[in-house]
Amino acid sequence: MTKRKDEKEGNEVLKNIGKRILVSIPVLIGVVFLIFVMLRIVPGDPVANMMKEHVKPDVMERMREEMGLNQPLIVQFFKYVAGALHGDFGTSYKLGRPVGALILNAFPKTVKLACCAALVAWLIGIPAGILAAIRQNTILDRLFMGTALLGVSMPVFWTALLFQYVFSYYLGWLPVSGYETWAHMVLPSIVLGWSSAGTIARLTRSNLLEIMQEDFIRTARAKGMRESAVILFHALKNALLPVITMMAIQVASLLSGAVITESVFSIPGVGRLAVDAISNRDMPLLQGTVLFTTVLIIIGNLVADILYSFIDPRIRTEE
Amino acid sequence: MKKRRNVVLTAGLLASLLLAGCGGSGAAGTEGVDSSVSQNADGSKSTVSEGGLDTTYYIKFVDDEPDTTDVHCTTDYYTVGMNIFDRLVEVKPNEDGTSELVPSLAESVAVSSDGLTYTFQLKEGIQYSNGAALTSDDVLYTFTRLLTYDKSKNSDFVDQILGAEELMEGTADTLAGFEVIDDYNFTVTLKEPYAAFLACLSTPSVSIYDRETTEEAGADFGLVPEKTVGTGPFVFEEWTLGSQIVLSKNENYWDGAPDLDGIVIKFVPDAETQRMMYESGELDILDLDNAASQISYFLDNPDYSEQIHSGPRVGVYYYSFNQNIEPFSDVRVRKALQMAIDRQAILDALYSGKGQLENGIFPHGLIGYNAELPQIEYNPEKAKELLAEAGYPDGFSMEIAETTDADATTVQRDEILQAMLGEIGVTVDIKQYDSASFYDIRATGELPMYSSNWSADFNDPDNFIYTFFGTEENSKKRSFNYYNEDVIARVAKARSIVDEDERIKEYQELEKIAIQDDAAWIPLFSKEHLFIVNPRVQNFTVSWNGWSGNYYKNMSIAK
Repeated sequence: MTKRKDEKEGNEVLKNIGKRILVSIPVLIGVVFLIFVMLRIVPGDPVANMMKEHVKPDVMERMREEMGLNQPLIVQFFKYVAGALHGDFGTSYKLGRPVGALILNAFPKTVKLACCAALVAWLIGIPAGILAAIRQNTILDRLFMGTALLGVSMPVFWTALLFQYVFSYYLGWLPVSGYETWAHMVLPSIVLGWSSAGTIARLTRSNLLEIMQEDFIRTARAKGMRESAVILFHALKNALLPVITMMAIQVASLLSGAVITESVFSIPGVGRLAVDAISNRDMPLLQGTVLFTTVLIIIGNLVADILYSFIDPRIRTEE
Repeated sequence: MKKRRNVVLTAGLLASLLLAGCGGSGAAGTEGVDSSVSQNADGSKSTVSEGGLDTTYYIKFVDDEPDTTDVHCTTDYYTVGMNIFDRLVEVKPNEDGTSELVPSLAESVAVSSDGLTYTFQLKEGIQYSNGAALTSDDVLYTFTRLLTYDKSKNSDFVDQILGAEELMEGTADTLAGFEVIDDYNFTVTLKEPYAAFLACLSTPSVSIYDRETTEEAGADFGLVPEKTVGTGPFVFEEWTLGSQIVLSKNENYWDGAPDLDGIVIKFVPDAETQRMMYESGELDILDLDNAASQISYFLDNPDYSEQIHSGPRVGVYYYSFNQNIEPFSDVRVRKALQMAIDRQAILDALYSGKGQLENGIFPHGLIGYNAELPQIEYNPEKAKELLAEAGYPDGFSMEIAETTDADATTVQRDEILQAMLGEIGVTVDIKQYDSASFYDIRATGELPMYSSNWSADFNDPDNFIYTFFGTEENSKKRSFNYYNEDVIARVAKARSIVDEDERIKEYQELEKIAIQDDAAWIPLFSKEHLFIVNPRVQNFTVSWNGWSGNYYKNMSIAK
């Protein structure tokens, strides 16, 4: 590849990024509009919900006025967009704090949990899958696959309670709930990571077994390579591609908030924030969390497209 | 096609790794106090914050996370406010389940013979935790803020004061009925006599704030600990969102500093988790109202019999009747349903019998509670006769509305009711609404039968009967649609009867007409508020009404 060609491709990439950013703007506005409209179509009144038992007709009317809920929808929408463009995402109805601050406060906790859980899943799932494949149909294989099946089948809330019971209550090794220290993260990460680990282990095993039947493996063996080298350098490299895809799906779902785990272990992450916002009809907060997730996904796709084009040359030359 | 999908998926992975990197560092930067549990030599656990706060002698318990701790702006969360602010008068619970009003910030109160003018004298030398002095002007500021602050939800505790309406409507700038005599003396004049006025001043919502500090804090008051300042026995130390609130003792408290170093209020939604935290020593107090599913676990376990504490909850559980919905417009149908329910069986089955049956609207422990009120009998045969008389010999179909976030025992209660009404031929459909829809529909007056409870804000029958049947609008907004105009007019008028005996007598008569003669609701029972308390906690006392947040000043921890 010549230097000139490289430069030309660099420009192409930049142009592509610019295009993608421009395209995301209407996507964002569309998402905001959709969520805005949907929230107002469903029945439910945030003010009545805030007052609950203590209905005071005149106070409710005054609060509705103060929150701007008496204005026409279209006015409310444009006010929201105008505010958002200035970085003001409104104040949570329920919590009385700026939405931006609430999300930024919750996100690190979700990230911490998602990363730990993903780490657990990969560190356990991949080696377990490889070992099970190599020792196919042995006790080891059955043991690993059985455990994997358990991980996939057991609902997270149940695993969570079981682990809390055994490791915190019965053995007293780890705190029951919270997120403050790394010790607090151990149980939720394992609980959340286990089901992912199960999926990954099973997928790794079946892919590896499949690849091991391919011609190029036979060739490698015929060349006289050691079996471990065949597996590590030839088979695994190809077997793991779909696994990586699976891992990506899992991380994406973890990051959007592991709602159940977050609530059993009292981790105040984004998932819990969004769920609370929905049940309280806390429109500014819900709009904020949805917008936030949308931006994450758009950025993620953009970055991935760019990186992928460097990894896989076929993508670059296609156009 | 396949390649394209891979692009997107890999995108997710890469993006998350990238974000994880950013997030990780953010976590370290934004987290408040990082606490860790350590094991002491004697085996007990203590919590030490990295910020240097030793919380060994802090009482730790779980509560819901509040929206705000500004008690002027909330109708359901008072734990923090109870302990960092003071009121002019406080409620003191007695051993026998009754309670009385005692002066707190007020040195003395005198009421004129016409019941209109209250003359207050404040205790001298009381300071807020930031050093500001408490004066009459702060009381004026507090009342004015309750009436006019746009986030205030509690104007109704002081809107009996002369000129309150004008102030709220904006036709006056000052509260006409409030006269400051000097720094420690002031009078309050009501627009008409209102016997429950002093009791109103004892609710946590009428906590006294410092004018200067509160104005300076603005919207941060109640949200930012160091700006949320009161005269109370504890100081607002820390609020880690989603995690915990810490209050520390006020060393300079005017009535003597608490023995306790402070309290830690943790936010843990899951009941099972709470129980395990209690059992592993991470909590000192377990409030079973927040963990109803764990009640039988503790009551059935003899190891805990010494650790169970309870206080009566001055509140009544009930089922509503919406008289706009057929056939509930017919009093015979309403009475039939009252009789078709075995309330004691429900109390025994769901709450281990920890409570008392109620036959009216004023529960045990409330001033005006009427022990003479006839018992509403459980008599399904008579209920069937009444239904037949009303033209429903084969029963009818009806709906019970419930919120989706109701605790497990509430739904079980509905199911028991469903079975009991089935006995008299009434088919019940239980329908769950998310709470925002539930309260929205209820406020329009169109919600079918639902169950709920009302607990005392202040110790006076007015707080109960006026709330439900005081005006036609009050009755509609709760989907009762009660139309006995005579009762409604008399409830409104009873507020201003000066003679205490006469007033209570009137309330008791009205209670009988509304609940027993008109059968406007199905009273169920009042419950005991149960707590499991670690033996290291001493002088544990439940608040007088059993719900508005316990007062921790007099509790301590064995050292």
